[in-house]
Amino acid sequence: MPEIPLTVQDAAAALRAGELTSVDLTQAMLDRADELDSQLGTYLARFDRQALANAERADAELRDGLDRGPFHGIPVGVKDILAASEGPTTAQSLILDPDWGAGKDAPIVKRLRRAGAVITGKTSTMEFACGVPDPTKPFPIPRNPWDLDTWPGGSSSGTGSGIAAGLFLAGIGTDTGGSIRIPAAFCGVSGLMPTFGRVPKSGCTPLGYSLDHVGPLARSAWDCAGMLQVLAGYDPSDPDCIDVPVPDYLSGLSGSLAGLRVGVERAHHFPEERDPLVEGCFDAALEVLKQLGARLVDVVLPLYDEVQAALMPTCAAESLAYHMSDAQARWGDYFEGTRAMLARGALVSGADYVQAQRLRRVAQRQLVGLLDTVDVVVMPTSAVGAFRYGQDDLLDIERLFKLVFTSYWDAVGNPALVVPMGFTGEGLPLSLQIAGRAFDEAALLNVGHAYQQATEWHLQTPPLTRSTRAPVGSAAS
Amino acid sequence: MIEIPPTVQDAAAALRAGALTSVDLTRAVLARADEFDARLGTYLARFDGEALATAERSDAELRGGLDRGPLHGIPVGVKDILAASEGPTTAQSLILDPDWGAAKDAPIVKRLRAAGAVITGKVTTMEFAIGMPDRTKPFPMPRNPWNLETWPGGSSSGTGNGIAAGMFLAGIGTDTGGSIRIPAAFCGVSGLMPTFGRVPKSGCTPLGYSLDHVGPLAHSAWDCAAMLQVLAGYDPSDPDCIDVPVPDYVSALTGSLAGLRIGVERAHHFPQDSDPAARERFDAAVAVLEELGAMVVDVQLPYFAETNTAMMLTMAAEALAYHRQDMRSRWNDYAAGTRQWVAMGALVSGADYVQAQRVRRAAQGDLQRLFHGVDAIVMPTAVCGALTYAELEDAGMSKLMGRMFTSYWDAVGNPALVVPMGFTADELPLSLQIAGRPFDEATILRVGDAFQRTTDWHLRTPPLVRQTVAV
Amino acid sequence: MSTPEDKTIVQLMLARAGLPVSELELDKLTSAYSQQQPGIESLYKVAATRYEAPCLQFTPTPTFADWG
Repeated sequence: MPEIPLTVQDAAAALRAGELTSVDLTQAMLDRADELDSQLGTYLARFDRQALANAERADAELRDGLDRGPFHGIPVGVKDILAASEGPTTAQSLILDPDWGAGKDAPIVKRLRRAGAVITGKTSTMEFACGVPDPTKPFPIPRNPWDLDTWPGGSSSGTGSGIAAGLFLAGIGTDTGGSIRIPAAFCGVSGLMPTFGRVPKSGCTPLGYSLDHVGPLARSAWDCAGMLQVLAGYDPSDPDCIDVPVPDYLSGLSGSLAGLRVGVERAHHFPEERDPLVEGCFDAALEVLKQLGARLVDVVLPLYDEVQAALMPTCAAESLAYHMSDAQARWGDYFEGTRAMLARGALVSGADYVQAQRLRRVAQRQLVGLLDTVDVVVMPTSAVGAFRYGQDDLLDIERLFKLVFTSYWDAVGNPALVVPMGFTGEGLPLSLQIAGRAFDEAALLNVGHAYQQATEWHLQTPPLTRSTRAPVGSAAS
Repeated sequence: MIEIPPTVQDAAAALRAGALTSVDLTRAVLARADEFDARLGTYLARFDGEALATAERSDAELRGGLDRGPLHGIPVGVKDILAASEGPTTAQSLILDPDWGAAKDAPIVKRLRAAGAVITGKVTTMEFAIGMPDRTKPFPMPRNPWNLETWPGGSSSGTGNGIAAGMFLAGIGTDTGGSIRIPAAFCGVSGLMPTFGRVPKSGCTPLGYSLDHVGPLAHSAWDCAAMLQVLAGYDPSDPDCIDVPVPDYVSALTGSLAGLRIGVERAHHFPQDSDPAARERFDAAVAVLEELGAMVVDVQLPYFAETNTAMMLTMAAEALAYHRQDMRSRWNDYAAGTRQWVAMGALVSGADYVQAQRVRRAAQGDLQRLFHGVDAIVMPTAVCGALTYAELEDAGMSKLMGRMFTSYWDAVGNPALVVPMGFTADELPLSLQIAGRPFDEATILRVGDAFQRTTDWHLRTPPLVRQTVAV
Repeated sequence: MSTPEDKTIVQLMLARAGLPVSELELDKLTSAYSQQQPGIESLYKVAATRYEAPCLQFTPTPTFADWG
């Protein structure tokens, strides 16, 4: 009996080779959840019954020759700020009206279903994608499977921890300042923030209207490419969704980086407080890219500090506008961390908000110039491993963005992929970030995929989960 | 000295009939400027020499068989917030860097030149299109030729009073909260605010990035249509310019309103202190439209108060972002009125600004539905004639704000045309506003033109001008 | 470092927004505001923004479609 595949790619092959069924796979994931979820706080809602029913249908379809693609019969988790018809969305909050999205599927959830994915449940997030865990509120505290005393990152916390611990093979996250890439980085998995407007974000509670992106997390760049294939494309229900053709992302994974010009950004990515091993891991990763044929060039991201300064006023103003009446009437019902963010929206003037948007446009213009001279830009995703509960102040957003390097890309709208690149001395994952031109996810995914053909960081699993890694269908599962 | 034809349409015909030349016309309007500009405060910069040279060239081209269209050889004024290469732009301010736009033409100025227009000069505005004339600043106070004690409206003040006094036959204005339509209304001429993004606004100092519109003033709707034909169309230098085909606006002026459904909005447009003549003239205008074949129905604009509020705070926030650095270091160099308006941008939170954009979208949604049932909506542009400077200084803009009805359309981005519809008892012009669907300027121009075929309000001349010229 | 003036400003802006923050929250937000301001100032100092348009565009023809 085969082990539970680690990647969607492997699972898809195993399904078609008849080595296991979707029901096997799904049941194994549910068993893992029984075993580990209470420790990890991955799920806010589990859809066991519906998932197994969908798995049965997937098996039947595949048997009958109806093949919906690599995600057919694959267990997938969905961040609980997106609507899925199995149950209400909470946004991990007491605030959200349970009728919001009730009985409906967000457009990307519809697309997942059409691709035959098996939705196993709604995963934990931060409150409305921005409030750090609050022990006084009736929601699980999400924990990092690599070290339960650490934060799995956020806000797509449960999506990250669930993939790392094997509770599903891929998942949906959203990213406004880093919320796909930070949990991917801290949990040792891969994650893709697509170009702004590439994937419809309707049916998702907003955090920053001009900053929100929906995207995949999974073990590998290949898996992310397969997921993006399902998610990408125009939908008129999202006014920010852009009508641009969707290329074949999987076919685009040539695995060769010959001739690729890779910009290396050190200037803003190695603060004093960094982990002692991050530079070495990064240099090793660069060496791999070079071996794969890439040409490395030192670059400096334009207006880095100013872009960082523009993001918070933008996000805070946009989120407070959305939450204003609830914030006034139900302040105490919000998480402390959410309140801290929302209140910032009152401290920014309208003129400052507009100025931030002018700054973003100037940065975009300069970045386009930079991305004429190189094809992608690489940097560490974070200068440190997962933050430790109780020791690192998760509320200190300023500190977070000094040590984590995701928000620049949200502000300019370009796509960015993160992949594991090693570990800290404490065994916490470190991550490589690859950013590129707008609508050029293909280039990023190819870099990530080529890197993962030559390395095995993305196949590492947390010690916590190894004892449960029993073969599918065995007595222990 | 020839008689100046009442409209661009007439002048274009006269030129082609050989009844006059562009040089004749240009000399005549320059003479008007000599006569009236000192009293009216129309010009900030006159381009007499260049204008006559362009007029000569136009005459030669027309003689040689090169016909650039209705604006060929026609004198046109340009609001001094747009760049024209004859000289620097001031924005009627001590603040604007004289190097800004120096020796360059804004895209719409390029288009005017390509159409053979004779640019006679840069005309008065409000400081940066927002600051009421400030006596303590070294710029002329623009006056209304219908009554010199009154304000000609703004911020395209010189464009409005210049056309009314015959100093040019058409002109360029901009509109953020009403700045094309108010001076058109108070000066008894026509004016068109096109759809947001219809006409490029690059080469123009911004007031509200998401609210600014460049458009024409002229005596008639026909003239505005001819102007729009020249101005409209995509230009990549303006990120807000929208790439939509430009129809033939003049050919669409069929003169018939048969089958057209016109919504009449009284609910929000007749406050307590309306001038009685405004209601009377508006009812009369609606009756004319009905006689012309239109079907009228009562309508109500959605989210009227909220949308107007959203417009103001959007403008304040956007303007302050642009001016903040200069306002910090050169506060007193700004006109008091500019400071008043723009400083409000500091009192609006980022969340308020974002909320205003959500309100605008909600209003747009309901308005789209409203326009399923009607093709155009009419209302008075204002329910008063031009206010005196004394009244304005006394009560400030607030006296005016509740009685003029332009800003809603800036907030939603739909086009709106204004045409004269009569006079108050004090013989100050009153104006009819016709709003339409986005990119359907053709319909509202057709309504205005049809109205002007059976009325002559748009052909009236201010007594001051009539009397002086008659001598 | 926060000045007493900063605290007053923050208090007023929060009150204006109607957000009933606790004393502790007020202190944290005052600190956040003070830290934020140099960054906001820096946005105005970028010379290239002098004549630049903002990156949010308004459309006169929005589309509306329901999801779900």
